[in-house]
Amino acid sequence: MPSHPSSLGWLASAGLAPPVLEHLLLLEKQLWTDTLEPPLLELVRLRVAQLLEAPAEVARRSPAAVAAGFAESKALALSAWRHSTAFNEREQAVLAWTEHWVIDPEQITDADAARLRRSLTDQDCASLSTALALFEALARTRLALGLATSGVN
Amino acid sequence: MTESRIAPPAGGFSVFDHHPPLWRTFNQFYGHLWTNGALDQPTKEAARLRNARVTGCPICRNLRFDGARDQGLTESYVAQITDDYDSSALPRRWKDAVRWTDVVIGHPASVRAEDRTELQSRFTPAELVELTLMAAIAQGFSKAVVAWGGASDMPTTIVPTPTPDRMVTSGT
Repeated sequence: MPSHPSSLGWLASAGLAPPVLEHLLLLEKQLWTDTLEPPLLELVRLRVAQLLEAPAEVARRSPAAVAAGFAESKALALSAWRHSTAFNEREQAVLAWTEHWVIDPEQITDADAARLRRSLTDQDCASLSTALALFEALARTRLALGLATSGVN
Repeated sequence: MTESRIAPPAGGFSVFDHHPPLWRTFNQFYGHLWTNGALDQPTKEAARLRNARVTGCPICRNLRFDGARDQGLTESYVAQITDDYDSSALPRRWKDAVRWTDVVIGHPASVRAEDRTELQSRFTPAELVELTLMAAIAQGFSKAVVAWGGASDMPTTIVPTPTPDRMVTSGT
């Protein structure tokens, strides 16, 4: 199994089958190294966690984002990002999309998609979609299994 | 059918095809989740289909994986994965899967400990974590279809169960 500073140790402890976990780790690693810039991914991951009320995911920071200079001030401003000047248009477009995705993707409009695509390439859109699917799935899994109280990996 | 908000690349099926290496890695994971996990395929399929109907993915709700069907999740059972599932003739294990899926894709922060404990008495830890992850992953990819638009209902389509070497869209 690949060993790297992953956030998924709780899945191993929960008993996820080793071949499944191994390939989930590979997916997570690729997401952080070969897609969007890690600080933007971290904003997405944290906003998903906030919306789902997932304290363990809110409390931790992804190593790749920290290494890339993730600004903790943005984490502090994230829940009120719409009223903050800390986020540029690319970040705002991604955060708006993230909120729609988590709360109700059926409410997404053509205008929402157009705004996002002004800031993201097609490949970025694929990356963001994968990130949202994965981050939300992991937060939901952790909450449902009752493994959400710890603030550490 | 609404128009897709992002066209797939030539030869592709969805937004995910715009990043082929990432999509390939996801499908390898998804294939392992289906074929090399701890939980039987019909129970996972019951969870996947419950999500598909709740999340409203027109593709996912009409797909059937052949492994689950061959192992007993026939169309007559699939038809009972509705909001009235609890009074249906679904076997208890599949009712459990549907009920748990509703928790996972609904508001998992408010899951009751007794509900989890009850399920833990009927599923092994490895089965339960896999069931939970399956429901959650399925929701994510159903949401992608809904968010990006462009999909419409299709006839019920039986495809091979994903494996690490065979992605779900290769069978459609």
